[in-house]
Amino acid sequence: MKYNLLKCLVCLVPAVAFAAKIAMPQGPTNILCPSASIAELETFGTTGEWVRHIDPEPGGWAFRSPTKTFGQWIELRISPKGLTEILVTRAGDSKVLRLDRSCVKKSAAVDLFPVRHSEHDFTDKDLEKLIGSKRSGLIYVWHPGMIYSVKHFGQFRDLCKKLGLDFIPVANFNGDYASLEETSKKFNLPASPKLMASVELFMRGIQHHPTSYVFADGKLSLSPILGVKQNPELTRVIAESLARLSNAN
Amino acid sequence: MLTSGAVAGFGAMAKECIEKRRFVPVPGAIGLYQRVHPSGKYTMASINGQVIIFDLTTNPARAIKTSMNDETYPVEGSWDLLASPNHDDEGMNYFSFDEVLRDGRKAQAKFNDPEHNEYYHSAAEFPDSTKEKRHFRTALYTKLRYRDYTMTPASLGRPAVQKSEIKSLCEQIVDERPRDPVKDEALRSQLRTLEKTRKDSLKIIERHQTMSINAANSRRRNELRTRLLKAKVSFNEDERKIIDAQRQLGLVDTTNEDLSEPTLSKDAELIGTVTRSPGELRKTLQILKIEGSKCTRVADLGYATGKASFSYPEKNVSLKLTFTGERLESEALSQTPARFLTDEENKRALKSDKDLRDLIAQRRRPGDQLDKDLRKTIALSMQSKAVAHMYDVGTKKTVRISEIGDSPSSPGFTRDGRIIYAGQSDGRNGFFIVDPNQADGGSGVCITKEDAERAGQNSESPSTTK
Repeated sequence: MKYNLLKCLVCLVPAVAFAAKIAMPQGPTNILCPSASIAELETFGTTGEWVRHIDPEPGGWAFRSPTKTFGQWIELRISPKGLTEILVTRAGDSKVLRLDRSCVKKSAAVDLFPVRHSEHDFTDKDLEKLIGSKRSGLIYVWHPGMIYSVKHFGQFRDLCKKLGLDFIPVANFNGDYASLEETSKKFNLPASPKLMASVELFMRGIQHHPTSYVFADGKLSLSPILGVKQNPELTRVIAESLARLSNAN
Repeated sequence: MLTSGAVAGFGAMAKECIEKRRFVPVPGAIGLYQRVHPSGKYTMASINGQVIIFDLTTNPARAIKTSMNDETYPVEGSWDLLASPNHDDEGMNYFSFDEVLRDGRKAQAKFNDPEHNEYYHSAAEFPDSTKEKRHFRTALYTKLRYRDYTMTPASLGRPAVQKSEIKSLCEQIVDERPRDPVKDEALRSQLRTLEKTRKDSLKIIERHQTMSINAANSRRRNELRTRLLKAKVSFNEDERKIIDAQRQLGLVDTTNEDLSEPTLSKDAELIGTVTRSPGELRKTLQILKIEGSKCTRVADLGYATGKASFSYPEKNVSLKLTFTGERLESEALSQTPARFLTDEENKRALKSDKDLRDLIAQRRRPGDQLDKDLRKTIALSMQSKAVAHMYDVGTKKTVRISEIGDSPSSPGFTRDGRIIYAGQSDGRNGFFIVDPNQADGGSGVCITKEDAERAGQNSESPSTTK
């Protein structure tokens, strides 16, 4: 009985005490406040799936990671002198935290991802509902000025139909909506196009148009499909993305 | 650091720096696929199906219409030739830049290639290319092929053109590291097996994805789904083993299956592309050296970007790239104010969007000038997050070139190292001409007016009148 009690006491120790901490991304070797940085990152539920982003300044580093909260991402910046800056990105409600040389935190509200409040917005709420439906599909991020993304819209749509995937086009466009509608009409694209207003999509990186993301099994791929491809290759990369999603946690 | 108007040297000839940043407006649209002439005097863009050459020596810039097809790009180097795709059966048509400037829409192609044609292409001259014998390469993006040409102009009639065989671009990508041939062969053999089974799994996934949709009944559908799931499991296991092998054992080959946005360097020998390194699933901007159908990885920036453009090669000067990339920006992170909408954009936005009108009503403060506040409020929620950068391959440092509100696109180098990109200033479209050396984090050694003038002279053919 004494043994069983001991076992029971051990069982009662909170699991969080033994939970693995997230690690700082590989690359920077001069981080001044690594422990304090990790502690801050963990308060926001950072998953630590770091993807390096464009250096914010010469000799600086930037990395992005999703968090456990859908629609909230982290960008971690390390200055050339090793100072940490954490950009907590949420639609309409972002903040920046800076750790000084003594690892003391200062934070401020900033507008990193303004909310447009347009009826045409495709937001994280829409995205979460879509992914939660457990259907499989492809989100196609396009821009009316990027002619390949306009000309190949039909190709991607038709291939998705053939593969039994939902095709979700989203225009990454901040200009005059009337001109977007004109382009849609001119190229026989759907009327009333949806506008990109999702932190989840933006923070994954949209450096080119089109950029596509596959979703399936309640998950959205972290890695994009870049640009246009001929159908055999496009089929292959979509299949790869679907396969990896079935393996993801 | 020399600043605009400053003078160098003690007793040496005065060398005046160019402006750190200059904006040349363009009446109307500018399009988004600019290419920059080596002299910095012209850019070329596709706008609504038309190819326009902009003359940046006038203010505002003068637009010259052409008869070339959408997505025409220059043969980089001298810009003597322009490659215009998809001319029906003629395929790619090559025009003379001088003749297009002189004759506009009436300019005729010098020669064509029906076999090697695509509207997403990149072309550049080799170092041995001369006015008497143009030697250049054209690479095609989605087809991942390239072909070399030698063109000898004729005083009468069409030039003589020799075309090489069409080759595959970067069929195999290797790293520049010391190799152990015995170990490499064992690894290649292991990986060939793993890659074959991975490919087989992928074929099943591709096939069954469609078949399960069209299955006759639910029993058949379930059968197919079970096979699909097994194939996915097998695919992921093989992929894990492949990645482990590549990482731990140091085998470094990948293929062109993952090449995106390839652009030739100005001497046709390198390619900038977003692709994946061995042992990685994520893609980054890399520089590869073309050697037949093989490519050697020579640099990896470590992050993904938009399409990159190379600087002109120069002795003892490190190569640079320029590109745009999305960044998180806010006025709190930068001192540059947001851009304002044009009158037309302002009117349309208010007319068409009730939510926007409500938002503006919420954000207005008493006493604000109505017009300016409305514009700024709209602009704050509509900013492009694209930023233009320059990367120095030698120092591996990234320098920011554009400022908040610029909405930059398609940056490109002039021969003397200026960067020109399309963008917006105070609601107007136009081009920014910047000296990246004067940017924060730049070298600090400015480009001089003399450098810029020399670039203009060296890049021009004698027939161009200016």
